Amino acid sequence: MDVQTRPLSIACPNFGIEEKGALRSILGLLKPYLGHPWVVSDAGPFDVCFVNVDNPDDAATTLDVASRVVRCALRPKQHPKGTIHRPLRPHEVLAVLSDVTKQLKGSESDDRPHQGGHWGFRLRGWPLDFAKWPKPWWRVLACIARETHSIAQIAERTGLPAKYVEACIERLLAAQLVERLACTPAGVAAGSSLKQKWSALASRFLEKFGLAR
Amino acid sequence: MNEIYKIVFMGAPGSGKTTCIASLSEVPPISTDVPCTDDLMAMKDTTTVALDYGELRLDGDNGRLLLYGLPGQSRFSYMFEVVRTGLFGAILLVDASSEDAIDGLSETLETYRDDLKAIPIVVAINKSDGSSHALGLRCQQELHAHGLVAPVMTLDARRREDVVQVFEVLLTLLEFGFDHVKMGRTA
Ligand SMILES: Nc1nc2c(ncn2[C@@H]2O[C@H](COP(=O)(O)OP(=O)(O)O)[C@@H](O)[C@H]2O)c(=O)[nH]1
Ligand SMILES: [Mg+2]
Repeated sequence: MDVQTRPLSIACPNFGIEEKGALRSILGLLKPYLGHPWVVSDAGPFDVCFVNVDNPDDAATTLDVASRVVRCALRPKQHPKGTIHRPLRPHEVLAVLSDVTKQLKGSESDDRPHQGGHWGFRLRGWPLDFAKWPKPWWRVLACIARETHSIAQIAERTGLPAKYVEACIERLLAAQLVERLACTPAGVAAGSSLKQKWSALASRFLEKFGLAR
Repeated sequence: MNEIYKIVFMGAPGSGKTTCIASLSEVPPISTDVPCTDDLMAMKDTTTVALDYGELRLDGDNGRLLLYGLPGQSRFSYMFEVVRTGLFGAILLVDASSEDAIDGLSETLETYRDDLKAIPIVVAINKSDGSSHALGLRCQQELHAHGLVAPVMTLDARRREDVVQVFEVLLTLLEFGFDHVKMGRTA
């Protein structure tokens, strides 16, 4: 679906349930002014990410390499330019989302998979705290660091369930660390001899270091 | 099988190459430390300007992993010939306690860009003793500026489990990022 017809989606990975509800109400209020449907969503892909920077847990990594991230803070003046108030204020949300809508519609031609294509993902940067992420997610990061792959392709290459891959991609999307690109379906070289070779080698080393796979 | 694999630790003098290799190697590591300029000598007692070497054996056959330490500066680039064949990964050490840490990384990326693009690499920040978030970001910017996307992590080179974790990341890159691409610049 292209930007003209699909609702645009907001991630708020570290918002509480009440704050999410408040944002939904604001979106309802702003409907006549936004000129495009916006939704708060739990499942990606996302078009913009609202981050509560007063909640230090997740915020740091989400912010650093991010571009289309909206910082929200109790005291926005103590944060970089562009930070908006928490609790959210409708006029600020309107300004921010109008900007993003304009940007997205402007770049729409680059933002649509070709006929018969699907979304692929390509890593823009490793999260600085990836070492604390679940180890199976490292595979996802490795898989899209040099090439663009769809969720199905990543699942096949990493041997992980698609749902699990999706969760990782969502986290990366929210942190703006991954690019979403149109990609054409390509054969997956699972079981290639190189793959078997590296896999066997990795197993032997990990075993040697007493690390389970 | 009698295969030989190599990984290389690269970094400025004092960045922890010798320490990393010593913590992994199963043979007494060899450091061909040679005297170098006075101001470098002032930094620490022994300073590697040449080459470190260590080895890990794989059980079951004669497979071996050769561990090399090389200075990252461009004036030593001729030494890279020693490691290029059979190289499957590079760990770029960044000394957080050094003021020139980023310049050193930048020079290494500039000098070895083509080689580093063709193999798994990890940037490992050493001696950070605390927060290295800002330095981590600077490392990522350097990587980005050189067209590279690579993990940046912190370690204490004196802790074997830290070095092993870096190695584990390298193996993950190998297995899932290089599973169908031939590695190596000329391969
Ligand atoms: N504080 C601290 N010192 C370290 C760390 N890693 C290495 N060192 C020390 O730093 C000095 C230089 O390390 P070395 O491995 O010889 O660096 P090289 O010149 O790159 O081979 C040695 O005295 C090490 O004991 C670390 O993570 N923290
Ligand atoms: Mg040394």
